[in-house]
Amino acid sequence: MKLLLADDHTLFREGFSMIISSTATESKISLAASWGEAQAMVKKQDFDIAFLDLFMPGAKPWDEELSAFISSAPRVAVCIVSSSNNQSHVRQAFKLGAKGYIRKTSDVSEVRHALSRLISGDRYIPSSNWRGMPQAQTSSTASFKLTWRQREILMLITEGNSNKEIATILDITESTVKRHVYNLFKALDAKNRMSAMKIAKSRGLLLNQ
Amino acid sequence: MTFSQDPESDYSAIESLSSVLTPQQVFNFLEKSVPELKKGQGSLEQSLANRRWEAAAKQAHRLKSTISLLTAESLVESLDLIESGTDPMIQSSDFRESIVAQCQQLIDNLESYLTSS
Repeated sequence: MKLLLADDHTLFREGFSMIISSTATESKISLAASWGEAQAMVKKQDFDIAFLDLFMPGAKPWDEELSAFISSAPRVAVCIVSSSNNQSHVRQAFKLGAKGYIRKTSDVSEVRHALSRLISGDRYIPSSNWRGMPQAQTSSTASFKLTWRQREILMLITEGNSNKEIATILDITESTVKRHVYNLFKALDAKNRMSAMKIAKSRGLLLNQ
Repeated sequence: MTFSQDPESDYSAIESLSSVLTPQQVFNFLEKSVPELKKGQGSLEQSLANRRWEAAAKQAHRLKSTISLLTAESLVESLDLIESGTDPMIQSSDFRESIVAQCQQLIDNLESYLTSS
């Protein structure tokens, strides 16, 4: 497996790459220190996963850099590695096509869990990001009282995943997914998946919205 | 590499790393981390004392990257506060002294680990 780790902080890069190596033992990790270097490397080589820091040096704002990176390497699974827990950053990253978001301050075991999911081709959405959302940014969702798991499932529904697929992605049983979906419909007062998606979209409840 | 634990030191900060890395990898990482932590602690203390909040926010962000690989949650929370720059608490001398003391405690523990390894 070929991995790219881009972060301008040398010591973090070194430590994080050791953690990656301990999880993905057969991986080859290439390192970059800026958006420019990451872009140049992804144009020359094939990578399976790219771990990118949001706030490393670049010529443009991070969201434009990320968008350009994903456009030039659409097959590479991009995972953000950032110390930012700002919900708008997380949302924007997923909206632009990131498959995962690892907070730098996550416990090592959580980082390994995230890596395992990404290496398996799954998406990784950390629960702490949704639980830690500032009140001002959740005001539109407060009345619905959706749990982070319900929001996660809601996003996967909008991506067209079946209950079985959602169960596989989240590593839970299909019956648990059904229970979450039932509660979700009840909370949204939706009759089916289509209406749940419409209501969620209109209320700005989607994680990637 | 042998490791004899000093009973007076707290090595909880490296428990997580130790669970996934070899003792040699942990040692090498800490050997590089300690000078960087010392440098970061000094710069942050100066910025806070001189009320240069923007510089302090940048230094806190950078320091967090290193500390994030170690288990030091309360320190990370304090650095988060400095980085966000929204809480007036960061302007107090008590806060400054507390964060410097936390950094120093972490550095002392890491140095103790390095010398006993």
